[in-house]
Amino acid sequence: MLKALKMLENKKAPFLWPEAWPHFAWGSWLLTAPSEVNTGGGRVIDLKEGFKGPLELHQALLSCKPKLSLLDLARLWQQSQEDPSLAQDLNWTELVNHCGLRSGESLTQVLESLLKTPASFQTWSEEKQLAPRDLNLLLSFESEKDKSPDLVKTWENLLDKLAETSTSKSTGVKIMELGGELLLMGKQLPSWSHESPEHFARDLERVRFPLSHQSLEAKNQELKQWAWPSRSSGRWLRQGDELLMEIKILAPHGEELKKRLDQMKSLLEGQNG
Amino acid sequence: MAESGPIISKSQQDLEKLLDHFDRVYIDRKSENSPLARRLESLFPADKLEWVDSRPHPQIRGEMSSGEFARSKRQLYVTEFKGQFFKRCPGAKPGLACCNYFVLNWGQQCDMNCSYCYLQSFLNSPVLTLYSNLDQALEELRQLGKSLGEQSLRVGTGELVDSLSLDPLTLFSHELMAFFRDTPRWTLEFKTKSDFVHQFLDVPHEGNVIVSWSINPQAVVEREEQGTASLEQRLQAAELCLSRGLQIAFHIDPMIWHPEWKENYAALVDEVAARFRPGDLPYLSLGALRFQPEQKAMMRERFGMKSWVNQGEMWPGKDGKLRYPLELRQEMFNFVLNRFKEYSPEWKVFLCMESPETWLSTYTKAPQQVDSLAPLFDQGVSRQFRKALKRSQADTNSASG
Repeated sequence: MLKALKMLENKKAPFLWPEAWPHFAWGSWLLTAPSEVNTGGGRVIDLKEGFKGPLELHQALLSCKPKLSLLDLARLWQQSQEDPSLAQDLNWTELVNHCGLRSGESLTQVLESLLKTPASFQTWSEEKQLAPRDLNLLLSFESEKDKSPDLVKTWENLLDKLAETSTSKSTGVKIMELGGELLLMGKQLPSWSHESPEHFARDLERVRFPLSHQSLEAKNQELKQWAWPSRSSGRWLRQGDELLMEIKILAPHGEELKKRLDQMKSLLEGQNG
Repeated sequence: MAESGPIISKSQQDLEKLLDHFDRVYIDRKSENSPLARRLESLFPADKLEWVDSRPHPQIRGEMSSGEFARSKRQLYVTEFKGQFFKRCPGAKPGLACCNYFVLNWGQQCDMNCSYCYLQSFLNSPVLTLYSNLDQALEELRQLGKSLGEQSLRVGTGELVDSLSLDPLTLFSHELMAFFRDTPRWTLEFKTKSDFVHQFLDVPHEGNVIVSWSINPQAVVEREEQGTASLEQRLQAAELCLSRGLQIAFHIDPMIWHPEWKENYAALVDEVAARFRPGDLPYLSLGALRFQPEQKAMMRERFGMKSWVNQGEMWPGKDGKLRYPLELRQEMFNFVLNRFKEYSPEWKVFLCMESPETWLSTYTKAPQQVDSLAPLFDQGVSRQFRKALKRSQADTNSASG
């Protein structure tokens, strides 16, 4: 009797094994179908002996699916915790190392937390190939589950919304970081109804970093009072921990540019003096 | 004679606190005959002690979980150190103004729990390690001393481990102070957040030992520096050291922004200025909160978002560390600096781990140009030391090769 690996459950293409291909197994573990029924009663090839020599379970698994996602690993980890025979057959450390990760408590805690998030978010995290560091915030909500169920619900809604709006990886991770921290600080999130994810991320940043935002706004208000030369403008931008001034000068030719640069110099000297 | 009663009693209390703190003590068999191993064996109950042939918990490697990190603070491991003990302070990097500080690491990990501690992103060992071969570290220093001739040098021990929080257990202070008695041109600095000073108050010294405290307003201590001595305890310990002819210094570092930061840092400066004179302290350093982005997750998990450190508005600086916005740092530094100067222009205050830009905005000149601070930033000494260090390394390599 073959046992299926749960990592393939509820997966959409391209994670499914092509129907026309024969299925592979390693000993009693079916590697390429979510359940034995899905093999359609066709031929199953045992990779335990391999084609070029014996394979260990993790090697056989990786030969069928060379790139495992965090969700795959999370499901495998969970199954190995529930089924001692899988824990015995699978060299978890080697498997994880092969995926460029380091086995340990910090990884397994992230994997366990991932499986507790909404299904839509799990799929999004897989599509966007999130790394464990992108999901660290999940751990901070683990301790809130008993204390503040409403807070956790709001957090899960945010994760669900990320998946629903097909947010890009970088914006999604930023929204998770900023939104998650604000929730943990007990702050209200700005509404996210029709705005783009990028717009929402900017709104979150304004709420998360109010002092930085206020000082940037104040500086820019000051700039508006300046007597700018014709067709020139300036604004302050935050670059890392610094505020930098960006100046734009439009000029039809070199002579005019020189004139406006001189005017700009006088303007700046006047401000500094 | 009248003083010896309470001093012994406090010293014993400090020791007992530490004996209670550790759940387990592992001693490498190779360290069996070291003074440290023998002392710990005599102090700890047998059921806490275990003799081992290699580092405990070998399965824990690389990045630790927050739970593993917290547990590592309660497990002591004594072993020999195989590398080079003596190195330059991490502030000595391009882009940061450095103050000629050199560090001697005799262990790693700390028994206290500061929310901002950089060890959270630095350490990958599941045990608090103490090195049993301090004699080799001192030999390394001796060799360096030969190359340096008459140059002066500041040596600190509080980089990877608090200089004094474990000292009632190790008594390393005794060996270090004895060594520095023979090298009076060098300065030894203990840097701590504990008030464990009683164990070395009677050790003779040549006046070249500085005991320094990282200090913060009591509100910050309570919220962000768990397991450390209170501000009052630190200041009392400083007064006691001063009364015994030891030099003292304060590091107001890391300054932590919080809604009442001005009131609290003003009160801190007032307290220092009321209890000490500028001449009592060779220097006083200021630094603002900074940490590696990688440690943010662990900080958040361990201390939650109610922590002022975790709530901070942090942005990546040029060195990659997360820092407060430059304009806020400048405001905080200026505030404290001006408060000290209101009391006396003689307070020698310098900025720690800051960019030359921040120096210029605070002092309007580079550190080497500030009269009261120039000796701390003598680049000639620094260059000469680096050459000596290289020579010593080359000698060691050729000897071992």
